[in-house]
Amino acid sequence: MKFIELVGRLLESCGASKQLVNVTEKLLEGFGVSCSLFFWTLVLALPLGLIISFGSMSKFLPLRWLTRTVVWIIRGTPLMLQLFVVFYVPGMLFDVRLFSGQDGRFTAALVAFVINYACYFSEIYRGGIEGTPKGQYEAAQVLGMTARETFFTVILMQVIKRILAPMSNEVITLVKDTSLARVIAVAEIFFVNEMDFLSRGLVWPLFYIAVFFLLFVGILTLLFRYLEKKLSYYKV
Amino acid sequence: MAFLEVKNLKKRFGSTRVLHGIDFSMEKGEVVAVIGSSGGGKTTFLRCLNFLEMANEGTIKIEDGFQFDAQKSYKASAIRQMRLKMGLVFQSFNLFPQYTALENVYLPLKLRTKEKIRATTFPFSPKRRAAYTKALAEDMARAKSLLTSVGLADKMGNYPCQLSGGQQQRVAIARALAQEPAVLCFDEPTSALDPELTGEVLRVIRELKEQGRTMLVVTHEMEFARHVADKVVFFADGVIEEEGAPEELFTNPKSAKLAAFLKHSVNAQ
Repeated sequence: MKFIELVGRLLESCGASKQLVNVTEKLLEGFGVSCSLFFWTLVLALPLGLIISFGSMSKFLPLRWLTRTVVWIIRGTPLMLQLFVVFYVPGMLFDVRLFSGQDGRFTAALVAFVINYACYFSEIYRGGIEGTPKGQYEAAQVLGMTARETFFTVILMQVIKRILAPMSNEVITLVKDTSLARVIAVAEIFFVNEMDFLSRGLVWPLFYIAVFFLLFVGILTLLFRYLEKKLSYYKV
Repeated sequence: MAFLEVKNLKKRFGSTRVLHGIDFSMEKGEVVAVIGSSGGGKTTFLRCLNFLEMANEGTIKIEDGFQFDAQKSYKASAIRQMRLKMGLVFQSFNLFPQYTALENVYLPLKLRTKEKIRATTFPFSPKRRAAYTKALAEDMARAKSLLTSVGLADKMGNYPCQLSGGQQQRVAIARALAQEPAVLCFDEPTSALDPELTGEVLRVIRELKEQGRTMLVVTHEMEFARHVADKVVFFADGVIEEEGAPEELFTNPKSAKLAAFLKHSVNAQ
């Protein structure tokens, strides 16, 4: 809240109109929720995706089939549908209120996002891991490394480098997908503002929202470019 | 018995038989060159010796008591210990690209040292920490001296992508030597190199021979096989067709297959 007021005051001191200050404050409020949804989804889905990718590469066939079926279902249905299912189905079928209040809605959205993105990430990881040349595993084997040592000291860093580009794509998509949480009334940037703007007949705030997203994605793009540069000392 | 003794080693992939019962032995300090046309089973033989492929039948024995019998089943950890008995240098080097030359040699050493210390000390104990410090310093010194011995003292901090093929292969040799294998195997170590770079790798192998290393080299370099190896083994269609002293084998081949192979091999003259 403090930060939002600060931005408001800053704009006022620059001679911005009352309306601009007001709209900016409201947008920042919603965008904060969007950002935290983005952040927590990444924190949870990145490791979960790795675990799922191990499942989908497992030599134990039932586990592999189960995992691949789940990934197929999650990637094959709309994220919006998954949001509805996570939020409404526990209450409708089992009469349990898992997600109540604004915090509950946020949690429901987070659960759906994490599952959805973990499945996408798992396929990216799988591509990266299976794309590792066989010789790397064999070299590690003849040097007496265990499977765990091989993965964590030899393979993982190569996988990270290989998946950086597809990962950046997926992460950028996530930024914009957070707006879907609106359908279960999470107070993200659209939900907070659309009725307000429409009822007041304002058009320009819609484009103003675009600026928020563009800035955020711009920063992410720079971040990924920096990472790519950081990892350019070796070739895979 | 001989230093390394392989008896009746058989390997098939699905219904394709690749090795039809290999009997092979070599003495400590010997350099054996394995020649033969592609598909003859040379590489599979080497991979079986290093347990990258598990033989379907047969035994592998080393003088110090090490034994492998294809009839028995082994745990992953036992296979891992067996692999350390053998060293392997690959045709395509297979250095770890994200590590420097020095780290490539040091990392496997460090992992094995840590494993040994973990087995004998308590977690977080001062004793363990002291043991780590001491042993890892020794490993580091060892890695450096090995790289120096293959002529790469000034390239230790370089990443594989900054090294030439010959330099990369020399790092790979140092890395394999670090494990102190009983037998060091080479799988066509110069086949991926430009002709002008093969010399430096072959020179290193020659130096290792002078140090008394036991080596098994699959190669297409007939000149090298002839002048460096103590014994040459000719593989054809999954069996050892002929073996013997290089001079004898090259000048007076007994089998028709070897004679034909030598005739087609440009380097033989």
